[in-house]
Amino acid sequence: MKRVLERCSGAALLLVLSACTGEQSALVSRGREASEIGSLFWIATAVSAAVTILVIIAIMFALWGPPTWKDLLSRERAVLLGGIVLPVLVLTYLLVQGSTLLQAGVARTQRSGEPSITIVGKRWWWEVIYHLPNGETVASANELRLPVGRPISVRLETADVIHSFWAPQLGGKLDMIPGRSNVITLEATEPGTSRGQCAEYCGGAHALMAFYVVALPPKDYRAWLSREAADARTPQTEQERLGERLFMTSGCGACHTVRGTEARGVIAPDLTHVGSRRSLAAATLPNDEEAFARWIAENQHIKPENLMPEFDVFTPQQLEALSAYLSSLK
Amino acid sequence: MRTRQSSTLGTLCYLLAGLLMWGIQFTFVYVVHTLMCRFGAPPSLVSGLVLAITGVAVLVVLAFLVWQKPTARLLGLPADVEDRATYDFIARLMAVLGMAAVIWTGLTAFLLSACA
Amino acid sequence: MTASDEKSLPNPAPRPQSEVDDLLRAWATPKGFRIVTAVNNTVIGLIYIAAALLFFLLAGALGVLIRTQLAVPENTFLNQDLYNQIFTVHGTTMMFLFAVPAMEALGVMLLPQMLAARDLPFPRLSAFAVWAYIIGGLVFFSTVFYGLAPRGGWFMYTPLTLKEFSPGDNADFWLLGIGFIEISAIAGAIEIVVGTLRTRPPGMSLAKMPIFAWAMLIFAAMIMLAFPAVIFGTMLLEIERSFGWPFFTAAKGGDPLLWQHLFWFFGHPEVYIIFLPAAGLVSMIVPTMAGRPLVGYRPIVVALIGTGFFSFGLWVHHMFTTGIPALSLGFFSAASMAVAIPSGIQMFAWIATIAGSKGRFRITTPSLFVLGFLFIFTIGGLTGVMVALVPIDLQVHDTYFVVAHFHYVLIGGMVFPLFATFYYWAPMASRKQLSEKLGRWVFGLMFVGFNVAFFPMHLTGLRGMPRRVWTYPEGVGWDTLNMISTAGAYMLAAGVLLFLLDLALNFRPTSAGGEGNPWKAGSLEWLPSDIYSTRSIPLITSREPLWEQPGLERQVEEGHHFLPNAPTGGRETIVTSPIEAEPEYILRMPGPSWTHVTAAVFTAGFFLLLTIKLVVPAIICGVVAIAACLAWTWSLDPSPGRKPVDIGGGISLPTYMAGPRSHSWWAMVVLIIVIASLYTAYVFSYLYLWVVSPEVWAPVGSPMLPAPSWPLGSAALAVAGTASMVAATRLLPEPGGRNAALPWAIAAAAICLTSAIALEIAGHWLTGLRPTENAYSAMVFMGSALNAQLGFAIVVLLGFATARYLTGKLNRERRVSIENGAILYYYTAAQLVAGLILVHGFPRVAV
Repeated sequence: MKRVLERCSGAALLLVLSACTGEQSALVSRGREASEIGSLFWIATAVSAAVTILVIIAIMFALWGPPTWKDLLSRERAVLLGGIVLPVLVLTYLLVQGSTLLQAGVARTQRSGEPSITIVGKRWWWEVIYHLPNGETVASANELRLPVGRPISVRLETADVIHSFWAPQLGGKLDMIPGRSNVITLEATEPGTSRGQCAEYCGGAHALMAFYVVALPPKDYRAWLSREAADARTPQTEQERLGERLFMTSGCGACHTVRGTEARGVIAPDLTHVGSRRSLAAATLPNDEEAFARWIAENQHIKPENLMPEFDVFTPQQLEALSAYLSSLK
Repeated sequence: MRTRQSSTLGTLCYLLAGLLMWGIQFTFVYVVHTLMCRFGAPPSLVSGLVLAITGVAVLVVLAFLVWQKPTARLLGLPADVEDRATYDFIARLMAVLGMAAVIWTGLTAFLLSACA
Repeated sequence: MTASDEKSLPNPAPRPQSEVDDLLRAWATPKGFRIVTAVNNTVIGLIYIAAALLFFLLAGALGVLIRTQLAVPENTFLNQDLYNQIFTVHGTTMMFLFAVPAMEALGVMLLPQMLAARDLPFPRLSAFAVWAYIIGGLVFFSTVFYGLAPRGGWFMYTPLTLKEFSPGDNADFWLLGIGFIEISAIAGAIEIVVGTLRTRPPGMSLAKMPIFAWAMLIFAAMIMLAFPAVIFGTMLLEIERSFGWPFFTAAKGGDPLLWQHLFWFFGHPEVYIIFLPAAGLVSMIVPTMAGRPLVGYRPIVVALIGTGFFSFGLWVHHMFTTGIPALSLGFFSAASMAVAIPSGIQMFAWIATIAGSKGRFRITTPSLFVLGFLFIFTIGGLTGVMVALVPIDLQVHDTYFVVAHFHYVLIGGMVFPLFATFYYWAPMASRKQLSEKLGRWVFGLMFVGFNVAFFPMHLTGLRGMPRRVWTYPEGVGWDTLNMISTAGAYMLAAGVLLFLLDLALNFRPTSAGGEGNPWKAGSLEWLPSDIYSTRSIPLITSREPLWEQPGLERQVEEGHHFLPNAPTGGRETIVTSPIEAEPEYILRMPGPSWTHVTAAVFTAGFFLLLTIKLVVPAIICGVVAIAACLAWTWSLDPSPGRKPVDIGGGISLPTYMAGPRSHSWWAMVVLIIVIASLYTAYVFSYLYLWVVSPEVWAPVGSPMLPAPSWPLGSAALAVAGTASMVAATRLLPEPGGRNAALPWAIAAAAICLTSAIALEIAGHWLTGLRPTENAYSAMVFMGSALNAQLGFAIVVLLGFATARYLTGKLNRERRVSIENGAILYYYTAAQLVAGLILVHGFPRVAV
């Protein structure tokens, strides 16, 4: 019996420790807020564990304890002590801790100034708009890049239903609500990539509405942003040129923009630098030529109900050309 | 076996007094904070008002605890009912519970800036 | 017990056996298929519990499907659309068609027995609620088989659920499903408030009431205050879906968050509406198994009331991530802390009672479920405190951490006590006890299965898995945890199946008294009973009468207590005063009938047909339903012309009561409180939308308000109508007499009220205001829509009263039917005038 118990508690411990892994884990922090919340979480967990153990011990004593203990436990005074005094002390402590941390977040938002990035939730992807100091905007999608070590305010909006922006390794979530504009402050503390996902059920393909956050050293970030602001790279090979022609003649440009070309659609993700992103279709597919081809031909099977129709008119060669073109848009 | 009957509404108010006070305070601070911030009142004024409302609520609950017996009489509870001690205890504990909630609600105004 | 004590009983002399025969005749249950017309609480209660259990199994099966889909990453067992429907129906069914009805069902089943009343005060009302719920619930659930089920989540957030994003009837079926539970919940609340406050046995003052009765009383009070918010919300949502009044459309000045406020103002108390009765049940089981009275009866009463109270200050903690100002979040976080204290009180009171056991605490199947509950609920409560801390909630909100949390609270806090209840009270309703041996296996499988299924979900959530996802990618770190959860879910399901086997083997329902008192409990439901409940209604002098009043069983059975017979020849029970429980009058109750069954079927038909937009057949059903209701109530106001009845102990009670002491007056007041809280939700919504979008408000964003003469005219009509209504109640003739002026006074009152409502609508219409214009106009017309609804009810009630007069059934003594109409009338006139002040006054002052 004892051996079994030991083994079980060992397994439980392993489970708890292993909780900290994973690219979308809230307990692996790469951001100021996430690490602060992480500490509060562990405090609250420790307190909760202590209270649970206390209650279990009390129940065991009530059932099998020595008569003197049973007698103490069975008085109304014990009820008032355990049921009122204990919770009041514990909860006051937690409330103060929680509120103090909440206030720290508020202060950070107040300090960080006007939002320099806007993210618009759409069914079922993220439009990410960078506001340059010169007033211009650069549109991208499904990937957020941040400079490390600086609090960045991000404006959160929606084009349709309620979504919720959540990058667990950076911090808590905040909803995108029609008619409102919420501001979240993110501060990456170390370079690296993590995953985030829509947290508010938004119908249909809610499960497939994720994104990546890439935190870069400030110098790299500036370099990346200026590359991102540039127009699309012109096709180099024959196949890429064929792909571009197909793209323009098949109506893709009615929904998608590729800056520097005649494709200026606004209802679907901007594809100007799609080849340089980490994923396709809001972190649903990896970003490679094969994925492009699959997505174009059978996207309703990959991500049902998404607003792009399936294009099954292309020959395999045409699909390859299109994919090569899109992949080349680095 | 007919004795003097307690007032139903009076008994209810007596038992719930502490919690009612929390309910009133809670509604007030929530409405005051929402409305005043919406129309651009200075945050320090809002915080002050929240704390003032809390202070009043604390005093009212304290007053209830101190003058519990006269309040009961006022609310139409006969003193000679056999269950009177039970009702008194319930009302007192309820007031303590209400007091904790009132203080916690006010406490947040110390820790958090208003209108942010 | 000495001979002199026996002499002091209310009916010390031996009673004739013929009285028992009379009781049996009066309370006989209809046989065969006519059982559907039955109204006895023991019959109806059993059907009610069975239906709730059925929905638990159905929704549980959906839960197993969900777990199967999520067992492995990128699974294709269920497709996206079906999964979205399934999780919506799982949640909706569990919350609305299982949890709340199950608790009401227990109230119907157990309360009258615990209070030694012969039945609940409105037997047909509970029967009506049961049938409407069963029909509506089954139709709602079956939509999942034809792909017609809603897919917006059980919380149905706007704008996802508006026509634009949810075309088709799916979302309307959700509104339908919840419509039924709204009806049966309100009916149940009326029944339970009046039942606990007015049909207690003589001597059982509030302070001696069993804890379960306290819990149900608070349960009912919470329904009265919380359900109207969601009733109002669903009205708004359906009106916006059907007619385009933009309450929730941001582009027209509406706000999607208004839905969240209304939904959670109901939704959070809802959790405690489910939990409180369960806690009440635990407080009944623990003392029995400990063989001693509950330690901390008084603190537990405080805890129950405190929980009910605080639960109304928590709703925003479901909205911590919507961007509400930090200090507002702080208030709600503080209230969420406060609600944890009462749970602590109860927890330690149960532990204290266990510790204080006489001899050993008996470990039976019910005790095992109770101990399991203590463990699971403690964890659920503590994770509840964690999510009440705003920063932690920002991370774990809408993740599997929260899924784990609320399953700990709901399964731990409600399902485990419910199973304890099944095992504990089965002997009361069955000729045979459930198997203690199988029961231990049921408990073991359920307890281990539950924890294996739901504990890992805390970690799954912390590792970033959001709720309501039908699939997830491999390698994010959720694979193993999900597999473990699925295995646990199967185990939990196996436990439930084993319970069904136990039921099949051992449960032999009877409404003629069960197995006696196998647990040696101290409360009244274990008195010897038959279909008429107890032979005589005991005089209560303590909290555990069966322990502290020796010989009570025999005295009751031999008819030595109150009302050992059926003096009026029909069904009756004693109505007592609300606080001290002094006997006041004999309530004559209706028996089996087709009327309320017909009303239930056609009410269900009305809503169903309306959902699929078959308007004309729907209206026909509605008319039939109302006609059936009128036929049902026609017999409810019996002639008062009887002498007072001697119930024993030298007490003679009248057999008719009108005015503020009558049960019918109390029911009407409860209903008016419900209506008033609904109107409060309206006022809140009006002001809330103004705060959000003052720019669409008159006079700037909408046409100028009608001239003051319009609202003044409307108010004058309401006052005139009220005067005429007062006059009508004064003009009632002596019994047997006539007063030709009465119908005219009634008609004048009805005409004044309808004109007042019409005038208000016309005034706004003539300024060019249209309800589809913006949030302001929609709110203006919504106020009149609420008044018109009451106006319709009042016209029906006054018509009913007139018909009673014309047939000679309404006079100065027999006046309940007009009294009910009158108090609703006064309330409506007041609501109308308050609405005029809001709609016409507020924009003039505020803008």
